[in-house]
Amino acid sequence: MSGLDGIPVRIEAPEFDGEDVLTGMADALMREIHAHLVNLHERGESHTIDLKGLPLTEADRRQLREALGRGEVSMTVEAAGPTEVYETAYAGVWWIDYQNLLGSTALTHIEIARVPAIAPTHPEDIADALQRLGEALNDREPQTDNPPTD
Amino acid sequence: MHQGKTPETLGEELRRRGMSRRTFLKFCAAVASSMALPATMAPVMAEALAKARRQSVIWLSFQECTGCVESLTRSYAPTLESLIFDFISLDYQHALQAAAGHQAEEAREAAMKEHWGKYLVIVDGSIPLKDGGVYSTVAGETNLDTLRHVAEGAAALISVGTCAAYGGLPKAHPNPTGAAAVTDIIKDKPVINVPGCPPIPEVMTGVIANFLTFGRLPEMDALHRPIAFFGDTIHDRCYRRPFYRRGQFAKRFDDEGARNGWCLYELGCKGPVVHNACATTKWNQNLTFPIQSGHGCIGCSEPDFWDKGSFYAPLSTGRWGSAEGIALAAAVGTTVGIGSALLSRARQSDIIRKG
Repeated sequence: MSGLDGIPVRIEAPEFDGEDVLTGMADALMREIHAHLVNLHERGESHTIDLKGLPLTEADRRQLREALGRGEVSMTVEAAGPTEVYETAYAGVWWIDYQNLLGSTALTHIEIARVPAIAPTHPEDIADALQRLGEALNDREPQTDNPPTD
Repeated sequence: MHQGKTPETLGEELRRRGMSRRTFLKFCAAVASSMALPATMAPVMAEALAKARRQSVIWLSFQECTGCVESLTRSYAPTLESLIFDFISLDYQHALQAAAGHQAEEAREAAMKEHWGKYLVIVDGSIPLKDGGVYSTVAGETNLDTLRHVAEGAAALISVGTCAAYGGLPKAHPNPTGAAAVTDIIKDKPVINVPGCPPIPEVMTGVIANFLTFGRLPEMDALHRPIAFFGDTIHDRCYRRPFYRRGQFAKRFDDEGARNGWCLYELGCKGPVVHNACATTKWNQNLTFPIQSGHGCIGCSEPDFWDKGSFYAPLSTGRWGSAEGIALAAAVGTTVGIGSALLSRARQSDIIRKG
């Protein structure tokens, strides 16, 4: 082993103090997002960042959200409670806010992808919809103001 | 029950009830997040879950107060975690089942037979051993015999709550019933402990969901606890750590320090030596935990917490370990904030590497 172990290291954690302080996490995350966006652009690789496990203060979260801004797309997914999704001002960077049935946030993801994982319809759901639509069409009387004369 | 066709997968069943695959994804995102699994695992877990069949679960309640069941079921609004009840078939559970008497016991036997080797057994409450185990019996059978009998066909067992995990309150001195933990009795099946008095509901759900999606119990420490939830101590992740570091301690529950949210070490907080997810996952859907509400940690997820001295005497004066060990746990360990996040990231890349 090299002599690296002999170097004394002290980890300085930011003071939380109950006050809402900026810790610099937002900057760090912006750089991480940039790195993932490079991967998306060059190799089509998607990535998801889970904000819940990170030591973000409220101030950090606000700063991050402001820095990312909002883009063209906004959607709400109603599945076991609402999920708010929007594309940020940076195309390919999405903000996903999973909420429980009371509307409070359960978890938050930042997805770097062409489209977030929760948006596209799953093939199984399409198969089910196809069957239901087929049945509905079979049950349907022709809808017209001019019924065919006999 | 069997009509000669293969049972539905969870995907088929939930779609029939109007729940799309997006529901699976959301549930798995929540579970992955609570277990510090990479967020990119959520779609993979969702696929696996949709292909699974309802997991048969037999819940055995022994010398318990039902607090663990209450913790799991009494959220004031349906949570993402409560979806777990849509993914399991709770074939036997005293508090929740409709059947009673012989019917209930027959239902249990039928479920065991149908899913032999594949059902999960959840146990809450300790098992009395003294005098042949007569101090707790159900349907004329001692808890000891029931546990052994039901465990025979189990895929795995989950000891929910400190009673099942370590003996709990019934084991408190002088332990009149000879209360024992599940791991004292079952030696030939995988057993995971989810201690806590009660355990945090998200922890219980996370362990069950892990079993459903990966087909195995999550990684455990030496005390059979899932490392994802019990890897850190309360002190490691406590938001009052800066006060501890600056030596700002509340000395009474109504003094200025207490009102300003200072460290509760001198009022008996056992945080430095207690492993649980209370400081991060918290309680009541991430609302608060004892320290945040002004009371020190009593160590309810550790063995013998009830016999280790007063809840209100400082750590160093009780029977929680040597003075040196406590000083080490209090001062070192992972630091609050970025240090802990790095630890969790390291765990993540480890998981990705192991596949």
